[in-house]
Amino acid sequence: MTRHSLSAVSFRDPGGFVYEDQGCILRQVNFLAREHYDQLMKSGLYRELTERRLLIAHDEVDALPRVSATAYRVIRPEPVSLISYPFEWSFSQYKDAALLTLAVERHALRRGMSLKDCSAYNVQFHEGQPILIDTLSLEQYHEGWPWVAYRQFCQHFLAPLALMSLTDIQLGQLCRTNLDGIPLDLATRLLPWRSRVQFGLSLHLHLHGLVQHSDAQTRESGSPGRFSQSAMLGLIASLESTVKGLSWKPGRSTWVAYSKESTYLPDQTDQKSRFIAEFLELVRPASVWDLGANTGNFSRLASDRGISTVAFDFDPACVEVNYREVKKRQETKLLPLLVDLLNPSPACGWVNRERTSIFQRGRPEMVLALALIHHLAITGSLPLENIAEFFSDLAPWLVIEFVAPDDSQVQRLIAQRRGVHHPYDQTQFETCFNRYFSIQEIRPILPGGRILYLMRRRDDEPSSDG
Amino acid sequence: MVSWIVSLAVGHGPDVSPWFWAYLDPGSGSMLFQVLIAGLLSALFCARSALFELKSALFGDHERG
Repeated sequence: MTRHSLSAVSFRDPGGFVYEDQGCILRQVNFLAREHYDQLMKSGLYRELTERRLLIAHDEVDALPRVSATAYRVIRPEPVSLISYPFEWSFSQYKDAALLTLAVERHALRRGMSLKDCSAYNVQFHEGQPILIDTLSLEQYHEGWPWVAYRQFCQHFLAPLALMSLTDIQLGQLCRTNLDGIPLDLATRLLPWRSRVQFGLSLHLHLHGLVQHSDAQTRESGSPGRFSQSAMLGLIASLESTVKGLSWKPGRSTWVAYSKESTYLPDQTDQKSRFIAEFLELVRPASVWDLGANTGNFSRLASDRGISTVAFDFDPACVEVNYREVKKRQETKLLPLLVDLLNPSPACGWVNRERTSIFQRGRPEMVLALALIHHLAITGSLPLENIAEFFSDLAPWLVIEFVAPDDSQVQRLIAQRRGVHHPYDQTQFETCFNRYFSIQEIRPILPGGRILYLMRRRDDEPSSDG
Repeated sequence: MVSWIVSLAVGHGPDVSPWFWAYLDPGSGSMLFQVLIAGLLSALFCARSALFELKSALFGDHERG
């Protein structure tokens, strides 16, 4: 008996699915989606969308389909360096992903097609911009039909954006527990009263939410009523203007100010940058993850060298400032993401495999952990041994800054907590990290204070008996 | 009550293969809601298009995106 293990992330769409073959991500197009796929390719829509970088480009390949009986085509989409999830995006990333989705729908309608779903997970950040990665989301437009993806758009995009903009930026994290978007009745309860006097939010969230749980039944395979193309275009235009009207200012975040009010003098920051640049030149990693990246100043030492870099931070304001800089500088190698290392994105959904944890989605060749360790060890009460093990599991190369116990920032953290739970000093640090890494370089930055280390995982060292 | 409104709102749409219904539940309430606001959306779209045409004629604006 032949068993076909379909990808746990791609089992809903009868039109096809994603699977992995020899490290390559492929998408099978089923016969059921043949007409839709052919129209996408022949109508000029595919070319239009890919040229505008709205849809991921793909090649049709001769690879063996995963399920031959249903296969019409196998396509190989352009690879995305790291899959990210909506609850890992800053406000502006989320907003740009929403506008991208609506732009795709607008272009599709002009070519007689429409999006059949609007999952925020279908959008990824690729070369600095959001892009639709689900080629099979596009189907033939049926004149007279309402938009089948309207509810999903409101739940996946409009509700989270409205909550982040008008209630609290941290409510974007509701997407972590609501994989099919934030239910409209929940969103409307959490939104402030003033959202009811904003036309778009009133219409698409509040009024729409009122009819969500109606017992209305549509006839089987029949239309619920006429919905003209001008109404459809009006719907998209209304959603676009509603999304554009939402904003969020990072304000005076403690962490955004942190990089400006740090312990370093300008020449010491320059010295630290020079050391990091030196380590990057020495190792020449293909990918870097900057953990606790703040607004990405040091991440850019890697990304400006053409290295695919992800800048993680747990502060929404830092990630927002970083993403705005990415847009301003039109950077293609830097991806800012919102991740709390003390509570990283977990695996969730069906059998915990539908959406994978951040560490299952990728591994870098080098980790930057700059001015981070005291936050993990003191704020997070993590033993240095555990931190060393975590980093060694993550990447073969580590650039880590040790912050001494008498550093003013460490003293501030210790004062808040009335002491340190686990041993924290340079000897303990080197002892713990030496178990997992060999220390390649040591560079003191501040006299008697901060030290930069370049470390290599012991398993990855070249064998001495060669 | 809502079912009764739907039965009034239901028209004769084109014949569509029902396979995509198996993929995503569009929410019967959401589908009905769109039908109910269709007139408003059409009017807004027409007004917006007319305004755009007027601006283009006056200032020579070009569509973006």
